[in-house]
Parts: sequence; structure tokens; C-alpha cells
Amino acid sequence: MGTEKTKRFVYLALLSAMAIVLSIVESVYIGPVFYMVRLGLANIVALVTIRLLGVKEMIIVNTMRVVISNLMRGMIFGSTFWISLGGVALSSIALIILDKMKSSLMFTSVICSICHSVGQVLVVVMFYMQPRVAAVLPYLLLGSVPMGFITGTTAKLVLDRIKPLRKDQPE
Amino acid sequence: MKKKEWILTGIIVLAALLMLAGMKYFPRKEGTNETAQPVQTEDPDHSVPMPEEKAEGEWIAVVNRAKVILYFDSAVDGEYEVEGNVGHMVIEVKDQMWHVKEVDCYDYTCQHMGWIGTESILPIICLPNDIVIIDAATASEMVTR
Repeated sequence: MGTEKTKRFVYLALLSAMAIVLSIVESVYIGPVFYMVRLGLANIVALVTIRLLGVKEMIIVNTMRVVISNLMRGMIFGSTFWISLGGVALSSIALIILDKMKSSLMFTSVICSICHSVGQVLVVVMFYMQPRVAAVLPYLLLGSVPMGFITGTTAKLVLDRIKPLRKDQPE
Repeated sequence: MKKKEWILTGIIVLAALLMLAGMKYFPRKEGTNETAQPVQTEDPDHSVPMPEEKAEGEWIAVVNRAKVILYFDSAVDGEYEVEGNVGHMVIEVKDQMWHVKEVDCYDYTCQHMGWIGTESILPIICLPNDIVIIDAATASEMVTR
């Protein structure tokens, strides 16, 4: 039992570190793939975490990723922090619901990618009181679908190689 | 992926395509503006007043921290420099289109947005600098005086 707990902690620490690094690398070195659509590399870690460890751990990893990556880039509590928090919050909610519904990994990834974009746009609309920004949504929706497939495929490749610690592993 | 999930993904893509088609074929109505020389603020605590002269094209406002810091005419070619939260931004206006030529920030999304005109749906937004470049009529709704 003690070994199991230690293993979970080690996994949680590693996954959190990976999510933070991927988030920083993506925002600083990779940038948008086209228009405003980003790959969402850190979403791979969120998908892997919920399948490997569970819902609670996924929330911890996502929260750590937003707070620490923004803290390390000197943007904590700035507009970009709230925008990424909005995106992560909505995608985490979608992830939890789809996990309960036992959806496939690929579909979960696509919906999370979409929810991430929608969450960010919602925060921008509220931040700037500018509903016209919502016009970017169709572009983001179209871009999020292929990005969701890419992150979902990557997460599947990872999960095929690691034995989950979670007892009630969905599909 | 299950069949139902494929269908749902297809519906989302279709909805996005329909929204894009709707935006392309039913563009928003152009607002009518009055007033030709760019007006820039000296006082960062207050919005610059809307120019009274009629613009040759349309008056475009540069909003920072909910204050209009510059009005420029979309039909007058030129370059304008404004200060944002992180650093300076250079806006170039040419052939009734404008874009961010230079910007001091870590993101450059506003620069990547390219040339924007009065027909464009999206305004130019620089989040790190808290700058929005938008038509004057809409700007007046989002600023505090």
C-alpha cells in the first residue's frame, strides 16, 4: 500500500513537471500552428493523467500547470493567466464528464481541445467586454478538431506503454 | 472512436463551417463615423476625445486599459506608435488596412494577425500590452472615460 502511494506521488510530480515544461515550451518556442490555434501539448499530459491516476490528480496537474507556468513566465494574475485558467477549467470539466461517460480517448481529446478554446474565448469576451471576439470561435473550433486528434494519438501512444495505477480504468 | 462520437465531431465541424459561411455572406453593417488628423493622448488617465472632423475612411481607435489612446483615419496611410503595458507598438496604416508592424511583447499574436480592414470581423488584440485596435463606434462602448 505504501509503495503504491509513493508511486502515485512520483507519477503526479513527473506529470506535473512535464505539463509545466510543455506549456512553457509551447508558448515560448512553438507558438500558434495557424491563426490562433495552438497544438495544446500540455493537454496530452492531462489526458494521460486522468487515465493513469484519476480525476483528482488531473485537476492537480492542470492547476499546477497554469499557476506555475504563468508564475515562471512572470505573468501570474495577468490577463493571459486568467485566459489560460478559463481554458483549462472548461477543458477539465469536459474531461471529467467524458471520463464518467467512458468516452473514447480520441473523442475526449477532441472535445477537451474544443472546450479549451471556448473557455479562453469566453474569458476574453468578459475581459474586454467585446462580444465580437467570439467571431474567432468557428476558426478555433475547426482548428481544435485536428489538434485534438494529434494530442489524442500522442496520449494513446503514451498510455499503450504505461500500466495505469487507476483501478476503474475506462475503455 | 465510436460511431456516435464521429457523428458528434462531424456536427461540431459542420456548425463551425456554417458559422464561417454565415459570417462571410452576412457581414456586419458598417457604422458611419464623423471626422482626418490622428489624435493621440498625452494623458494616460483619460481617453482622448473622439475627433470632430469627418474621417476620409473610418475612425479607428486604439484602446489601452479601457482608455482610447489614439484615433487614426483608416484611409490615411501612416505609422503610429503607442505605449502598452509591456512596451511600445507600431501600427502601420496602408490602403485602408492596418497591422501591427512592431511590438514589444513575448507573444506576437497581434503581429501574426496580419492586415485588418473595416470589413474584418476581428479587431487586433494584444493581450500582454492590453491593447485593442477597433472601430471608434465599438471602442466608445468599451472605454471608461
